[in-house]
Amino acid sequence: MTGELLQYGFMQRALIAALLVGLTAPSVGVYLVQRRLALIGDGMGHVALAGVALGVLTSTQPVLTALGAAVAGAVAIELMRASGRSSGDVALAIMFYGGIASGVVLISRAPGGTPANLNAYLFGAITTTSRADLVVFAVLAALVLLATLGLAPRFFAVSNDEEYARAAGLPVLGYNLLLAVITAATVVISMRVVGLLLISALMVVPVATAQLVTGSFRTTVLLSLGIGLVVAVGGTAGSYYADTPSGGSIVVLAVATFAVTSVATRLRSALTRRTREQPGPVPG
Amino acid sequence: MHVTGTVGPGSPVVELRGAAVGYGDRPVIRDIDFTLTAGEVVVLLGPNGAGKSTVVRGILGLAPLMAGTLSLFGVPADRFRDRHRLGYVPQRHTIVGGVPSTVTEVVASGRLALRRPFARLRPHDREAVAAAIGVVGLSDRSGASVATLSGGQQRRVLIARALAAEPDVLVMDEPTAGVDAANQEILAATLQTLVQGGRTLLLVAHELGPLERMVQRVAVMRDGRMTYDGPPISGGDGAYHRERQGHVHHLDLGRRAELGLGLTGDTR
Repeated sequence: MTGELLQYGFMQRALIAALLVGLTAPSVGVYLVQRRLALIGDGMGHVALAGVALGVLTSTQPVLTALGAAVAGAVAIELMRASGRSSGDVALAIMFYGGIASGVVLISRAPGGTPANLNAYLFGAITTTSRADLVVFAVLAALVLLATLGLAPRFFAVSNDEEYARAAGLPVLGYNLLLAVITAATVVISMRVVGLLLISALMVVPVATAQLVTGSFRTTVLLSLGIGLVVAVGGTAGSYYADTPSGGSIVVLAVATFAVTSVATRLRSALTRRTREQPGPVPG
Repeated sequence: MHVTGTVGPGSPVVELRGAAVGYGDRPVIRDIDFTLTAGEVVVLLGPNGAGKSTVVRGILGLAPLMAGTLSLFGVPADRFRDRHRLGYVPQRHTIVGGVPSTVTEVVASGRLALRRPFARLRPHDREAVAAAIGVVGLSDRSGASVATLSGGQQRRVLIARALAAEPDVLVMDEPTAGVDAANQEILAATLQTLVQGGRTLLLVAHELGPLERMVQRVAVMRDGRMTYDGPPISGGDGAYHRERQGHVHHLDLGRRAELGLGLTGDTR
C-alpha cells in the first residue's frame, strides 16, 4: 500500500507539503492559542484567497501573490489590533469578508478559473502541489520554524503578558508584527494540501490536543508539532485512498485526535478520583 | 552604546517633575513631583481611581508622559535603555494563559531583556531564575503548571519573574490586593526579605495593611494629584491631611473619609 502511494510524483510532493505544514502550523498556532486569538489564522486565510485569485487571474505564481496578500493583510490586522480601538473588531471582519469575497469573484473571472480549483484552494487537494511550490514552501517553513523555535522565549513572554514585556523593554510591536507575518507565511504553506479555510484548524487543534495532557509550554510545543505532523501526513495519505479533499481529511483526523484525547483524559481523571476515594478519607 | 545611568545609595532612581501622564489625549495625573532614591521603600497610597497605577505606568513607559520630565537612574526616560533595571509586578490576578506553562517558564520570561535573541540560556540565567523562585518560596513548585497554583502563589510567581532580571528597583502594583490574609503575610515576609537585602521598592496600595511595618515613606494620591509625601504617620485616616508634611498640593478636608486609607490598626 505504502509503495503504491509513493510511486506517484504528485503524491510525493503532497506528502512533503503536508509534512512541512504539519510542523509549521502548530509552531505558530501555539502563540495564537496562548493569547486567545485562535481565530485570527482563519481571517488571514480569507485575506490570502484574494491574493491567490489575483495570482490565478494574472497567471503568475499564485503562491507568491498569496504570500504578498497574506503578509499585507497580517500586518494590517496586527496594526489594527495594536491600536486597541473598539472599532477594530468590525474592521477586521470587513477585511476578512472583503478578502474572501473578492477572492471568489476574481477566481470566477480568471481564464482557468473553475469551481473545482476554487474548492482546491479552499479545502486542499493532493494533486495540485508543483515542484516550484515545494521550493517556496520549504524556504517558508524553514524561516517560520527558525523564528517560532529560535525566538520561542520571546514570543512566549510577549504572548503571556504583553504589558510586562513592554515594561521590560522588549520591542513588543516588532514581535507581534513578526508573529503576524509568520502566521501569514504558514497560511501560504497550507494553500495546496490543507486549504485556506482549514489552515486555522491545523494551527489550533494540535495545540488544543497537546495541552490536554501537558503541564509546560515546552512539552505543549513539542507534542503539538508531533500531532500536527502525524495528522497532516496521515490525512493526506488517507485522502488518496478515500478520494476526499486532503484539507478536510487532515482536519477531521485532527479533530478526532482531539476528541479521543479529551475523552481519555476525562476518563483517567475520573478513575484516579474514584481510586483515591476508595481507600479512606482524602486529606484536604 | 547603552545609556545605563548611575546607582548608589541615596541617588535618585526615579524622578518625576511637573509630570502629567494619561491615555489618549487625556491626562489622568497632573503636576506630579516625586523622587524615589536608592534603598527607599515607598508606598503610593490612595483610593481607587486616584491615579496611583497611572503614576507607575508612566514611570514604566506604559503610559505616555504628557507634560513635565521623567528621569530614570539620572537619565531622561526617552534615552534610558535599561528598562530591566525596573522590575515590574503588575496587578494581575492570574497568569494562566491559553497554553500551559510552568513556574520556571514564566519566571524565566523575566530574564529575557538580559538575553540576546536566539541565544541559549546561560548557567547564570538559570541560577538567577532558580534564586528568584527561591526568594518567593516556590522552589518545590518550580516545575508545576501555574494553573495549579493558588491566587496568592501566582502573585508570588509574578514577583519572582520581576526578580529574575535582578532589578535595582521593584515596582509593584497592589501586591496584596485580592489575596487572603495568610498569603498576604507570606507576601509581606517576602517583601521584608527584599527590603533587608537593600532593594528599592515602590509599591501601590489602597491600604497599608501588612506593608505598614516596612514602609519608610508614603505618597498619597487623590484625584490625579499627590496630596501628601512624607513618612508614614499613625493616628487614623485623617492623619495624612492634618500633618501635611513633605510635598503637599491641595486637600479637600471635607471629603477625607472617602480616602479610606485604612491606617487604623487592623486594616484587613
